[in-house]
Amino acid sequence: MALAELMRIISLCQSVRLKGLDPFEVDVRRKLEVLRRYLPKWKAIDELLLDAEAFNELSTVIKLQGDWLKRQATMLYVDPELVEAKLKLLEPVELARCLLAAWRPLMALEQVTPQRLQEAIDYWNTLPPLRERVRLEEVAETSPGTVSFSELLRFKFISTAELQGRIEELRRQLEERSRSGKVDYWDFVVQDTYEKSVERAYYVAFMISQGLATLELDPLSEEVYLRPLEGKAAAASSVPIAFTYERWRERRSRGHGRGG
Amino acid sequence: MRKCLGKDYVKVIELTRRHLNELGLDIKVVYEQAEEPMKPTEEQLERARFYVVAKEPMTATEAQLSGWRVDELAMLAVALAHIYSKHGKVPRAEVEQLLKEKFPEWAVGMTLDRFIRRGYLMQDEQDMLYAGWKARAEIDSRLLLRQVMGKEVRL
Repeated sequence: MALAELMRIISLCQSVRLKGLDPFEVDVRRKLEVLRRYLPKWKAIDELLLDAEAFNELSTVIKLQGDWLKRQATMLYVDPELVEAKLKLLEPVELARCLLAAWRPLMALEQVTPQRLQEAIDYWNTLPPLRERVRLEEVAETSPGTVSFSELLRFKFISTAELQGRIEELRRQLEERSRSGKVDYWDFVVQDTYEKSVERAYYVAFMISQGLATLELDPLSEEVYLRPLEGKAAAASSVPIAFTYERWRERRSRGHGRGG
Repeated sequence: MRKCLGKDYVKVIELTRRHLNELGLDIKVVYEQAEEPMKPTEEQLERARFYVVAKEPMTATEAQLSGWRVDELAMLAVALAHIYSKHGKVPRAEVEQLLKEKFPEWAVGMTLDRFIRRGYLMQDEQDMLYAGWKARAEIDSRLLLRQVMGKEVRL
């Protein structure tokens, strides 16, 4: 309740200050009494800060009251309502005459100096012709292509440490699953989404090229199996496996990759 | 000014004023604060701006030749007189309301914006209007209010 009272005082003072209201609308003496009454109750730092802010705002209002009085006493005081009434009653032509009587327009001379002219001539002489300035830059056209891992590494889309971490993680998973028998390649690679599956196949290819795993092909059933290796590079041979969306859907529908 | 004319720059300005007066011109000093100090201090003068202005007011014909229309002059008179009478700042909505009594709504907003662009009025984030730097340099606020209050009203 008391804090709300402080907030009200601050808000009142701020609106007088910002909206140009009559500062005598604020009963400063009464507001100061309120602050004095509540001061012994404040214990928390936030309460004391709020009290200080209210006090500061009231002192600003006192300054505004001083300025207001000074202005009224020295020069311009005319009742604003009277001025407003006059402004409403006067014809536009008479209002224009009032302004003209109080108006002393600024005088300015715009003149080109010999020095500025010389600068302009120098600029003109060194300026290349328009046809040279607007000549279009020749751009080499390149057809769309694919980004390799080495390029991804070069462009810092992926770091070597991150790549190695993922490969290590895959190798751990492969070792765990190979304890209970042969690991089907598709079962290992296929995931919930096509994107995740392609990414996993990419890392598996890296794992194989680093000699951490190898592929075994069953020539009769044409099934492909993955087997972990002890970090020794396998004999150089390449096994192309087409990883199309259709193939992923087919393998997914056959239940591959549901085991995690 | 001190940098260009030396420490006696105030005397130089006074001498210049005398010469300019002979040509029908004058020097107007605009101080940083809204109120013109009775006896300006050295610091106030150093921060002030000095403008060459006409010594005598313009005639209606001269104003028209400078591109001012009568309704524009009247709108500026209303806006400034209202601002001066309310201690230097008023909400824009209040000035618009006052102007709409005599001028079409579409013209009021546009003209006020033009006065702001030309430096005669200034508007802050709270949509309060003040006299701009150009009004402070060119318009004698006391004289404007005296003119408005002194005009006879035909009822």
